[in-house]
Amino acid sequence: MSKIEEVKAKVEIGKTKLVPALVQEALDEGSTPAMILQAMVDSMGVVGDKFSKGEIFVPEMLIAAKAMAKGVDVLRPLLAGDSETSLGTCIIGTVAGDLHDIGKNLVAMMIESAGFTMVDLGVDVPAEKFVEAIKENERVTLVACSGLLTTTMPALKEAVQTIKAAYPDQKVIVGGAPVTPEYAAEIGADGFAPDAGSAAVKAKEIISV
Amino acid sequence: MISKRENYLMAAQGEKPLWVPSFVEESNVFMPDFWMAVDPATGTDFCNIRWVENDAGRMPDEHWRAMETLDQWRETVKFPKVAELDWPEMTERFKRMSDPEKVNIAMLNTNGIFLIPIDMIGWVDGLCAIYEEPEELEAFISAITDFLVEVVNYFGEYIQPDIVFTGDDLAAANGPFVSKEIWRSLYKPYFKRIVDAIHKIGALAEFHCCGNCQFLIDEFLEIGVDVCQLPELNESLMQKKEKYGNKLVLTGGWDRHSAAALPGASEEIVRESVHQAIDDYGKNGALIFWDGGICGSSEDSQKKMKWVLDELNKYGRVVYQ
Repeated sequence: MSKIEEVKAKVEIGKTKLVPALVQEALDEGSTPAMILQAMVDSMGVVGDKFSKGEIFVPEMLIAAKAMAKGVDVLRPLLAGDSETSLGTCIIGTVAGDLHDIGKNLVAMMIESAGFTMVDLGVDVPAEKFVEAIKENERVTLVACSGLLTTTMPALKEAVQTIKAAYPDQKVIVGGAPVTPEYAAEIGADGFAPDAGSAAVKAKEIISV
Repeated sequence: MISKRENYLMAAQGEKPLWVPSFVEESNVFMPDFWMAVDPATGTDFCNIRWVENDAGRMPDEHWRAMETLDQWRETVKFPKVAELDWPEMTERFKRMSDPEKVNIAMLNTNGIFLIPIDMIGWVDGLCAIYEEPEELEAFISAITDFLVEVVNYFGEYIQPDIVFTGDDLAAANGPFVSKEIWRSLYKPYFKRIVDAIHKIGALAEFHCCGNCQFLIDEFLEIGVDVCQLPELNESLMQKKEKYGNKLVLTGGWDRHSAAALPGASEEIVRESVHQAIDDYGKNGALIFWDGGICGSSEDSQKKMKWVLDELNKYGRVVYQ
């Protein structure tokens, strides 16, 4: 097994302590940073798929994402300024009136693992704050809005519509327990994902990668 | 005529009562003061968790971390000295506020051996600790269990509740946070200790989880949970209900993702949702109705709560006659 294949395998099973050294060994073996990054992104794709199918659970997904993050730390100095390896910036937040962060955090980790640069606005985010963040950050390719409470569904709608009013071409995905694909379409979102694993797939699909 | 308490306990014990009891309307709830007490200087509780609150409830502040690493729990957590709490005063206050007609529920906790470590260090590190620091995590879980069991013993001595309520969100809306293997090896023995302690004081054990942890219902029943408060309804819960019948006692029944839960739902739809809840999950008893999911003080929520209660008092009163 080549080192890059080993990186891929160890990220998938969340070996946080082994991945950094393996990434370095893969570099020494001649793999480019972009190749190694892509291998880890592919691993996380497998992890996300297993999570969506119920074959693994949140801790297993988290340690895989953590292992990848450790690997990215090794690559970061070598990738600096290499915009081709990033799918752009994704702004994420839980909408106004809602304090739940777990779904939003999991989605953030998986979208980051897919190759986006994340800007996390936190919880209880007013619609205007999403718009400000689009303005303040470079190359925002995606906005992800989360809402867990049925009572905050109007806030989800307001967030999407406020973003679309300011930036009509901005891609927006939504998710959370009460959200359905029909509701997402009704409020004008570009996509919906039922869980963190499929959110990463949907994110890439929406920006047409 | 039987009292509200007697009627409630019939449902809680898996029988068909005279009417469908209401979790909110027909119970006196005791909660020890220490859960809500915060340090005035830091605004944190005894686990050094800082809470933020809004109209819909309270959550740990995501910008605050109670400790840097899990192994710091011993010096971070200041478990209240249970024996030194003013139990006679808390008991007296509870009795004064209670309606003797209603059932007495003692709230042991709403976050416990699963959630407390996560509330302290966040979801990512809290859940990764299952793999990265299993021994340290289990030591902490064991210490939390010891504390909760001691509190239960004082409940028995002073409050003498009919039901002890213990809550821990092991699952999100779309599924469990951990696998059955992790549940069995890490959490189940400690949950069983808590349930055993509750039974030892002569009370029924009610377990609450906000999310969809239907795949653990068999396990909950195995460790002796008497009442499951599971507000996340789905086909899987329906199947478990069909499998166990009145051996599976539920608090809930109301579908918080139905059309009735949507903002602006009509009175007719909301009223119908009460019938649906009772017909689906309590047609033969063993249901304590709870509209878990209607929250906040908005006009919409207030209207819904009024319609739901009114319909419960109408349909719920005659359905078993």
